[in-house]
This record gives sequence, C-alpha cells and structure tokens, in this order.
Amino acid sequence: MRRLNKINIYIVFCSLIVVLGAGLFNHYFSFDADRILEKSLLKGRTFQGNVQQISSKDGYIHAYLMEEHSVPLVAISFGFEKAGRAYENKEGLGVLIKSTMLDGAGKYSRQNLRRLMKEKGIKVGVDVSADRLDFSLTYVKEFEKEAIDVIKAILYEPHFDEKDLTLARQQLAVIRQQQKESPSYYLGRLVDKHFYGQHPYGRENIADDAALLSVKREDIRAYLQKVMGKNNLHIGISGDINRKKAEDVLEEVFGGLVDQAGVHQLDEFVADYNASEAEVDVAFSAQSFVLMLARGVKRLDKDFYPLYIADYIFGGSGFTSRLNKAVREKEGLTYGIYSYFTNSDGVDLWQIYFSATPENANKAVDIVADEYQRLYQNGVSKEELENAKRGLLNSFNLRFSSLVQIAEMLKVMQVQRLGADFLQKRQDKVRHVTLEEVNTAIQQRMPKTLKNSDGARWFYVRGQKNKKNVVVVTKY
Amino acid sequence: MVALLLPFSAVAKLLDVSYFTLDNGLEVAVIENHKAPVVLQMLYYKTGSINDPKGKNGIAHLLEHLMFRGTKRVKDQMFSHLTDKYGAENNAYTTYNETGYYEFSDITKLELMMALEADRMQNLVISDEAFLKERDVVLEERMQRFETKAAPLFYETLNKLLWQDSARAQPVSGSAEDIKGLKKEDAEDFYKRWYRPDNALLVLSGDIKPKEAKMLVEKYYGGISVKEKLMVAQNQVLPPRQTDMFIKAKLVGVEQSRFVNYIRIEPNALNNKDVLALEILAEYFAGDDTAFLYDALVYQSKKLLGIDVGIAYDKDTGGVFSFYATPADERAEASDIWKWIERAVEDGIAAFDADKLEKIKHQILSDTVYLQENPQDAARFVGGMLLASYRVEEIENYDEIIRAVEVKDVMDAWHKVLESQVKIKGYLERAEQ
Repeated sequence: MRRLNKINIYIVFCSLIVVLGAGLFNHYFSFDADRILEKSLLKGRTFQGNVQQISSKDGYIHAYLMEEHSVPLVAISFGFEKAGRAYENKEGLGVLIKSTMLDGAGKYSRQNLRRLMKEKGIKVGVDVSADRLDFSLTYVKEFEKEAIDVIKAILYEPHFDEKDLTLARQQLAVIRQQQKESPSYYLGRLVDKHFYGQHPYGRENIADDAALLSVKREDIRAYLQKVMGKNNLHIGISGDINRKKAEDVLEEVFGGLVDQAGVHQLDEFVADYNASEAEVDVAFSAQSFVLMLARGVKRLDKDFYPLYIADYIFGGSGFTSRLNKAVREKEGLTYGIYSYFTNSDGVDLWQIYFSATPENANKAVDIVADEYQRLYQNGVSKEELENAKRGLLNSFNLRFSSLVQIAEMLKVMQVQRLGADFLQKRQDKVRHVTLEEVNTAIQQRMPKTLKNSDGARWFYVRGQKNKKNVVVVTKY
Repeated sequence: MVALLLPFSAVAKLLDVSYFTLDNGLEVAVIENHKAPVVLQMLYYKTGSINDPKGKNGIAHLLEHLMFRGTKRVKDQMFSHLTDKYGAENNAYTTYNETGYYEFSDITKLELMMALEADRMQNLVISDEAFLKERDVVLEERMQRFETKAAPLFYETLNKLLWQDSARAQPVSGSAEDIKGLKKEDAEDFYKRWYRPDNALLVLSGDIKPKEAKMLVEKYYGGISVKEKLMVAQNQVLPPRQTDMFIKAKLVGVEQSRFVNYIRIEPNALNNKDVLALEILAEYFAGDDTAFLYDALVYQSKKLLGIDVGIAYDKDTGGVFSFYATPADERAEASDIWKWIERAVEDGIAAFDADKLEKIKHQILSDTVYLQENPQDAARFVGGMLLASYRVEEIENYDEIIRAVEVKDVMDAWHKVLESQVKIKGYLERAEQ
C-alpha cells in the first residue's frame, strides 16, 4: 500500500507537471488569437460615420454628405441612372462620351483643360456602365473654385471636336482588338450571345466601327442634355467641406441640369436559366475559362443578407471559402475560384468563375457541383455562419479609409435605395442573420443542383491541351 | 512661374513618417492617418526572383504562396482563417527584388495581424502535401498569366534578351520547366537565407501613433533573433555585352501590333536624383495625352495611336527605360516606328526648358498631395522610397527634392540612359489566322 501510495503520489506529481507544462507550453508556444485581441492595447476603438442628407435650396437636388476635415481634400461621386450603354438610342454613345468628354470644354481647349487639372490637382473621372453614366471629381480645397469651374464646363459645354472624336474612334478600335487577345473576351461574347441574346445587355462594350462612325457630335450633345437630369442623379460627397458649402456646391454644379431626364425604358430581360451550356474553342490559350450563371437576389430582398452570407461561405470570401479550399488548396487545380452576386437594372445573378488548364477545368467543374450539393443538402454550419458574420462585421470600417471610396459608397447607397441610415443598420442586419434563415434561403432561392439546364447555365472557353506558346524571335 | 510654386500651402509636410530600427535589424516606418480606425501592415522582404538559384527559377514566388500554409504555431489554413474571421484584407506579391505581405484591417485587430506576420517570419513549416499542391497552384498561375495571352510572353522574351546571363533575366513567376522541378528543400533554404528581420522593412500606415506602434513592434517582432550574418548576394547583374538588337515576333492570338524599346541601365549607374529626373522626363514625354511625344506623334502627325514611356530603377539590380507604342497603320515598317519616336524624342529634348520643367514638377507635386488621402497609397509610396534608400527627411519633404531638380539634371540623367550598352527593340505582329 505504501508503495502503491508512493507510486500514486508520484503519478499525481508527474501528471501535475505535465499539466502545468502543458499550461506553460500553451501560454508561450501556442497561438491564441482571442487572447491577443482581448489583451490588445488597441481594443475598443470605435467609429461612427455620420451621413447627412443634404439638398439644394430649390429642393430638387439631393446628396449624401460625410464630413471629414483632417485632410484638405474633397471627393464627389455622382451618377445618372438609366443613362448607361444599355439605354442608348444609338449604340456607341456611352463609350465615345467616356473617351472624349475631357477633350476640351467651355473656354478651355483640350490642352488647357488637362493642364489646369494637372496643375491644380483636380481629378475628373468619367465612366459608363451598362446602367449608368458616372462621374467623379476630387480636388484640393484650396482650388475649390477652379474645380467647380472645370466640372461645370465639362458637364455643360463639352466640345466633342471632330478631331478628338476621330482619334477616339481609332483608339477604341485598338482597345477592342486588344481585348480579343484575352480568353475572357470570348467568354463575355459567349454569354452575350447565348444568355442576353438580342437584349441591349448583350451588346459588345465597345460598339463596332460603323456604329462609332455614325455617332456624331450633335447626337452626343443632344443625348447628354436629355439623360443628365436632376431626377436621375445620385451624389455622394466626402471630405473637407461643411454642410452649408456642400449645399451651395449642389446648386452651383447641378442647378443647370434639366429637372426631368428623358431616358428610355430598358427592354425587359427574361433570363433563361434552363437552356443548355455553350462553349467556344480558343486556339491561343493554354487554359480554359469557366463561368456559371444562376438566378441572383435583389439588393432589398429580405433574403439578401442570408444569401449573401451563404455565398460568402461557399465561394465569396476568398482564401477560406469552401470552393477555394476544395479546388485550389486541396487539389491545386486553379489559381483562384470565386462566386458572387451581381445586380443590375434588368437582372440579378449569382455567378461562379475560374480558369484552369483544360483537364483541370473539367475536374474542377465536378468538384464545384459536388460542393454545391453539400451546400444545398446540408446548408452551412453554425461555426461557418459565426465566422462569416465576424468577418463581415470586422471588415466594415475598411470602407472608410479613403475619401474617394466614401463618396462612391454614398452614391451607391442611393442607387441601391439603401437609405441614409444604412451604415447604422448594416452591422445589425449582419449580426441578426440566423442559421435557419441562411439554410432556408439556400433551399428556397438557390438552384437544386448546378447541373446544366437545371437552374444553372455553364459557359466554357476551351483552351488547348498541352499548348505551349513559343515566341519565335527574328532578328533584323 | 512664382505663383505656380506656391500652391498647396495648407500642406506643411508631405507626410509625417516615424522611422526606427529594432536591435535585430528590422526597419520600421510608421505613417499616421487618423481619418478612420483602420491600418495597413506591410512587410517587405528584400528578396525576390533575382535570388532564385540557377535551375530553381520560381522558388521566391512559390515560397510566397507557402507562407500562407502553416507554421509551428499557426497550423494549416489557420492564417487565412484568422485574417478572414477578423476582417483583414490580405495578400502578397513577389517581384524580381522584393516580396511583400500585407494585412489591411480594423485598428483593433492590428495586434493579431502583427502576431501572425511575426510568427511566419520565424516559424514556417512546409508540409510535403502543401508543397506539392501549392506548386500546382503556382503552375496554374503561371499559365493564367503567360500562356493564355500572347503579349506578356513577348515582354518576357524581351526581358530575357535584355538581361542576358544575369539572374534578372529570369521571370518572377519561374519558367514552367523549373517550377515542375522545385523541391520542398529549395523553399526551406530560400526561407532560411532571406526571411529574417535584418532583411525586412515593416510599414504601418493608418490610425496609429508612433509611440504605440513602437511598443507593439518591439513586442511582436523584437524577440526574433538573428544568428548568422546575412549573406548578401553577389554578382546578380553581370557586366553587359554590347547589344543593339531589333527583333520581330508573330504570335497566334495577337490582334494588335505593338512596338517596344527597352534600354537597360546598369546597377549604380544612376543616383536617386537621376531617377527622379528621368521620372520627370517620362512624364514630359508621355505622362498624359497632352505630353510632348503624345502630342507630336498621336495628335499632330497621327503616326501612332498611343505611346507610353517609363523608368523603373533599383540601384543594386539596375533598371529599364522603356518605350511602348501602337502604330496607327499596321503596315508601317517596324524600323520606321522607332525612327519617328527617336526624332520626336530629339525634338522634345531640344524643346525642354525651365518653363516646361516647372510645369511637370508641378503636376507631380499635385499628385503627391493625394498621398494624405489614402493610407494604403501612402504606405506603398514610403515603402518604395525607403527600399530605394531615401532618407526619412527626404521622403517627408519629397516636394522640396522635386523642386530642386534643374534642367541640367534631367539632361545629365538622359545622357546616362543614352550611354546604355544594351538596347532591345521589339515588334509584336498580328499573326494571320
């Protein structure tokens, strides 16, 4: 007994050391993320972005404003709804506007306008998407007056000289040719042809030469005057500017627009998610490019957040998504694979996209289908949901790092009808999503399988097996 | 002209940068920006594909991938799991002479990001499984970048001809042949040799005070010890063999012909002032579509549809002065294209004077003001300057350095470019289908 007792004590003694050792080992050598954050010097810092709704005196022009006075800069983003490429009454208007709108305006020649902008640090951007015509203006506060002069000249008195239009048409042709050097171009055309068909969404982003040639200066001017109205305008302002001044700027810059824009209605687009797959061979590519399209979800739909989180877990979050783990990390079949939702005026989509060598692409498609079955049948787990929510909550403040980014976000909040209190509400909306909501939404709103003709459309650009491009050099 | 030199008076210093070095040799720069509670942690290792051993081209880049696949303490996918869960945008990149890792996160998560980055500076573990899969991923990446489009492969070929037998001739991604032969031990050797605090630069940019930053950097990175002396690489760039070559290539998949001229500049041939002077010259030539060459060749004579001019230079590994051009008429003789450009360059040099210099300087200055706007841009700017051996005072007062450039400096720098021994002109032609 004594002996036994001794052994027992010895065992107890030893195990204590082991336990103690394990404790010390954990303390010094294991990595405890939560403990690091709990003890962090920097924890508990919060931030509240304050969005003000502002209006011009006449009450016709509205904007969201976020003041930020720590740097002497101002960023303004604004866009006209239903003034994008899909709404054009003449194909090619949008791209020509984008290419030539800064080639001289009002009293400024092309050369003088560019020089003034560069010298005073005034940046103007023009962009045209399928749905919208968008602008951005960024300036140093010291040169506010000059910046306003410049943007007014561009909006109301752009030159569109024939010389500039001719050059732009040639340069757009070059860009169109260069696009054709990339397999993703052929993927886009495949979708245009087989998914969008005759709908304006199926038009090539750069119209053909004949179309570009038929767009004249008068067409552009008449079009712009018609589609830039106060009623289809959304404005976001951020930076070193107070409410009073911002309201004056609204009046001064946008006061000259027509009250009601005369925009076309977009033809209704009826998506077919059950038609067969489509493919095209590309001789110069060693990789295949793959795209899947399925029905998406509207931004204001009650299931938006549950579905957004489901997608985040499945393929939206990047390195740790289920798709990336299964196809890239575990099998090494691709450099990257993503899924995401997109919204436009005419259609809301859910998409999956990746590229891989032809053999790997086929394997990857099978894995994607299997992974999707697992999602559809078993849903996501409690732990996955909690991690996704934490990721979305924790990354929220990153959107406030740049004034340009804030102004753009404020504009998009209006385009998407999210409301001025969106930033307050968003965190709670994410926080309150339940496991049941996510898994029910997957069952009710997503395709039963990702097999083609069953709610999912697949598009393939087929690369060539064992293709080796060799640059044959000729000296001369 | 006086008025032009006085704007942006509201800005006292271009940027506030705090700089210190830890005992283990880690260089640290902190840039304050308190607009939003976010911060970018950017860690640069001063190594890249130029240090790929012969026959093991691509190892620097493959190692960059493996840095996400587990350490002694943060196993398997835990790194990405934690950065995702705590909302940090993060990624990494490799160039021929630097390898960068970054995490952009909420300020309250910075300590975790520092702990993770410091951990993988010293505790990387490469499993056989992860190595083989990541090697496949890297091959797919190489395919996606170079085997699906023709133009990148053409530029890669020009780069090979330009750097001859030097390590700089190797592509950053590695050649497909070399990648397939890489071994786990190659990655471990590369990691041991180059990934160490005295071969790294840490930049923190955002809502953090230098005092806090210093405390935390000490806490997480201070304990990483350095045992052996850093072995600096020798003879990465071998002496040039005189070459003035014009090559042509036809490739399936090329829809638009283009012209390129690469002029090689040797290590230590330029000082920082020369590089800045050449940046000014490139801006003057083709900085935008009112610049001299663009105006002359695109807008006036209509011979080209586009032209681009650039300078990229590092004093240890040399650099390239480059011209890219798109001819308006595809039937143009390739040799004629360079004659047009060369003549316009001569005209441009002859027309360059103090007035024009002031305007260009002012354009560059107005751009630098926006560095205060975006903490990520500021970090990349400061990081790049420190890697190019600028001193902190010079970075903080970069505007003064720009203002100090004179016409003579630009001419001197341009003459150094003209002295180059290796010039490769290339024409990529559209292949008849």
